[in-house]
Amino acid sequence: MREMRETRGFVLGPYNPSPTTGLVDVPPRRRLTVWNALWLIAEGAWTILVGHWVTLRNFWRKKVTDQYPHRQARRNWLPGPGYRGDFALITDWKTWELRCIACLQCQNVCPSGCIHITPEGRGRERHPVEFYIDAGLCQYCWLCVEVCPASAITMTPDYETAVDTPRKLIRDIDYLRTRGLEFDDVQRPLEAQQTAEAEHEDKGE
Amino acid sequence: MIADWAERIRAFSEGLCTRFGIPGLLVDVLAWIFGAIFVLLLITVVALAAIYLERKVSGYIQSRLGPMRVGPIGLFQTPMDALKLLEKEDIVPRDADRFLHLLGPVLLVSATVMMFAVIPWDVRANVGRWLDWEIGLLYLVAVSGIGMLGIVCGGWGSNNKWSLLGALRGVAQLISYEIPLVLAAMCVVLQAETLSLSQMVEQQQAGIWAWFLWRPWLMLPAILLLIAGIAEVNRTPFDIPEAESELVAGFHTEYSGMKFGLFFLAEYTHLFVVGLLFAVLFLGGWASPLGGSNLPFEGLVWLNLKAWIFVLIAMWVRWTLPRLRVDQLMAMCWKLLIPASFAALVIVGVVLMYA
Repeated sequence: MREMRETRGFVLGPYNPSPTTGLVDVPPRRRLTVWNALWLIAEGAWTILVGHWVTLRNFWRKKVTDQYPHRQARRNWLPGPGYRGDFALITDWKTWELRCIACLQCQNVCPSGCIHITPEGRGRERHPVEFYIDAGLCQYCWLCVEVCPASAITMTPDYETAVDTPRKLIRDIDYLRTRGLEFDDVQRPLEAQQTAEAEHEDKGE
Repeated sequence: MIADWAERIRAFSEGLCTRFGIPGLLVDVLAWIFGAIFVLLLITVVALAAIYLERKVSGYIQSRLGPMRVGPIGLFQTPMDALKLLEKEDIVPRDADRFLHLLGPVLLVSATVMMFAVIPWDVRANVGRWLDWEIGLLYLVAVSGIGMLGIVCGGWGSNNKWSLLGALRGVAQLISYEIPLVLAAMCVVLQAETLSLSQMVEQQQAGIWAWFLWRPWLMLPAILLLIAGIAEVNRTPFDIPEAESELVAGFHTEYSGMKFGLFFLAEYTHLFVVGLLFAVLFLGGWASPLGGSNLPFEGLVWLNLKAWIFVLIAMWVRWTLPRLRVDQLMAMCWKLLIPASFAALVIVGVVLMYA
């Protein structure tokens, strides 16, 4: 077999050394005899047959397609930590109220201006009355989550956020509270950040 | 006893004509019309089925499912695509030769349809009355050459460099690969001692072991015909004329709407016709593999099944092998296939002379 591999360096005419490199490692020059040519043909035919065997095996294999909205292979699948999906406001588990202190830092830091907050009250009583996030404007840059002193705003791993009208892309405070309650135990902003960073470091980057 | 339904249709139309006093010449015209309707229905169904099958086969080979959404298991996907092509706007480039631009797909499709004329569908059942020619094979090969003109017309008339390059490559390829195709068919002619396709089938009638494929000296021609046949219909290991990575879409770059659809129709119909030819030459045509056919339309079913074997093999090859370069393509034809087919011809001749 090895002998035959070496016969790949067949040349039909006078060997033409490479004009770019000048000195080249000249392959052994052999005459292409009928038997060698037949062997090459047989080898080529064999590789083609092997290729067909591979495709035939794949033809009968179980298919990997996940016909997603119609059928889902893994139920309730969630993307990994650090995924930025739908928005949520987190509820404090003692007072049963939003953690948000309506400091408007997220509204100010937002580069696309998609957050609109109407605050109410003073001091410890300060809280948001209205809290709108326009998901159509949002670029999911995570700045609001980073800047939040109360760790009140986050993004959940929920990716099924498609709506049928642009109006519904504007999430109001009730929606955000519900999302936060649904995903409260899944991901806290700080923890998520730490996990993501840890994973980033694990990859050695 | 033998399924002579074609004779019955002919007798029926003859009876119809005598009943209504129509002259005898019109009997043939009527028979031709029957045949034309049959062929047109057949190519529509065959092309739709072949495109659906191609999508499914490619999907399965790539571990996908293929079309699944339109209709049950995606069955309506191809008819819907055909409808979409029908209602799309027909765009002709401003500087194109409008006549040649139109002539391209028309020639290609008509050449392909003309090839159906001599296919023996059953005992004495050709499309026309007199088309069971002694020179059926010669006619088939000659007519398949017209398709090249369609490619040239399309490529030249589009006034586009990609189209022209694709057309030129296509013609070079088709002319080259016709030689091994014809030589491989000649081996069968030597064996059968006739050019008539129906007589070839009659010699393979006895059952599966009477097929020409099992004669040891005809196995090499069968492989050559398979390769050259796939090259004749410009399918993927040999789809130089429409190499997407180099030529956009080759000779049908500038086509849209139903003209593009006609190219597709021609491609899959041509594939099916080559499959029919392969079935007739090597797989016993309409003859049942069990020997003797008793049911009406049985020959039709067998012939179609055998042709689909070829079509499936062509699809399998297409989704396995990568495309050849132009020079590799030509080298393979002129340095490998043509010498091999000449050798096969000599071998068959010597074997038949001394055995």
